[in-house]
Amino acid sequence: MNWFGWRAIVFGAALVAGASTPAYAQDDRPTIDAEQLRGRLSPETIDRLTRIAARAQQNGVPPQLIRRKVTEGVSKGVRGARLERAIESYARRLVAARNLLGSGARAEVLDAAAQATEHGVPPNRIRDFAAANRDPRRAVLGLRVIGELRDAGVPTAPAVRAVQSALDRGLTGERLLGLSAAVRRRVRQGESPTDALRAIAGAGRAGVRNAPTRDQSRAAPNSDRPRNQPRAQPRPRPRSGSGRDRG
Amino acid sequence: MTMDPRLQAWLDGDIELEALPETLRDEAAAWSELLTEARSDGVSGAPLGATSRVMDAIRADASRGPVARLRTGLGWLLRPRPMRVSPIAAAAAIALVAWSVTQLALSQPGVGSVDDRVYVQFVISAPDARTVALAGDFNEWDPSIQLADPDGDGLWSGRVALEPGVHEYMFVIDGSEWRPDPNAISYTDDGFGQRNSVLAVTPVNET
Repeated sequence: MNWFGWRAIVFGAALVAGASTPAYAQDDRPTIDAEQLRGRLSPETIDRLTRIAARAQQNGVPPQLIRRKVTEGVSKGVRGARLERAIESYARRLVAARNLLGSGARAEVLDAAAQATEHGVPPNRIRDFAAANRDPRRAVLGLRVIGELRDAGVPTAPAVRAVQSALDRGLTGERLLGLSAAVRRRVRQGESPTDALRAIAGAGRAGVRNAPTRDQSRAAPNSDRPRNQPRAQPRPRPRSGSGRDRG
Repeated sequence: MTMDPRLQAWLDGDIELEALPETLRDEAAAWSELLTEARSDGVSGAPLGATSRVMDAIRADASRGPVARLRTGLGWLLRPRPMRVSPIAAAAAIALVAWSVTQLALSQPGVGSVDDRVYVQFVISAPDARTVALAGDFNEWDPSIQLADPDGDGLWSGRVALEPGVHEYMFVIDGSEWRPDPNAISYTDDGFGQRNSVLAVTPVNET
């Protein structure tokens, strides 16, 4: 290829690379929508939240994460110093997660990593797990479950092994999410957290794809017990009224 | 009369004879013959005075101002030119562009996900409630999704299309009481002193 050809290709690649920067870089909405919050929060609180959010964004945290958390708190009626403390703490964890996982990590993975950190999962374990699970959906689900298992008293190493093994076996969604609830149930019955996890994981490896999770303990089909679970529909149906499904 | 730029490019050795259209090949052959004759007549080297003209042009170029240089730079971008690319380099360039476009599509929230949405049935028993709404990370925690209890038995329900992934949510009773789903598969601390219910939505093709 001649010199001009190389220059043209490098120029084109730079244009395309510039256009494909992560989504949060293109999020041009303000990190905190002060206008929307006016009247619901004091100007001082808005000002402090804006500063927290700006600092987090400077450290590479996608703005929508902070914005959503603020909205959640405000919707729930949390105000003043309590709201500021919660957002500050969340922002700090997100910055730590960003430093840990690098600039390529997606927003939802950062959020899951921040939660895992809060549950006491060591940073190196989070980094290794995220590196081994490039699919963001796997990483998010896995990190959440590891954090919850830690919270249930399972040491990090067996928690990570069990979750990775479950993911590799194709266990997804609520079945995996229910792992910690299943561990807690067994712990309440007197088992140690590690033994409980081992028993559940052993059942999974033995071919019982439905680990004894809360999902299984729910109401039997056609019973009147309420249940919320994903349900694929061939086409959208009216949301209310006729949409009830108890089975 | 000006020479066809493709013919000029061929004379300069930038393109092969096969790259010329048929209509120019006769002319190219005539030029080739002429040059061969000139060489056989002992004509060689640059024409008289060519060196000094080239050096004058270089000096003039060096003394031009920044505007003129900018114009030259823009001209480089805008002027069409023939380009020779090896097949492997072209393939690499196409692959790079395709990869970047894919990354861009994947990085856009919601893009490509509309068809992946899964309908989720939310149900809660709240016999004394006058209204029950649903709020979560999927609607910016705006309690705007109203559940219905058409037969008045206290079971409120609603169906919501959600993107695959992990979602946090709560029910809002009578517009003010935030209540976690008692039948959720998992819960997480919301950072404000309450617990959000957690739901994992699996794509239809993985269920």
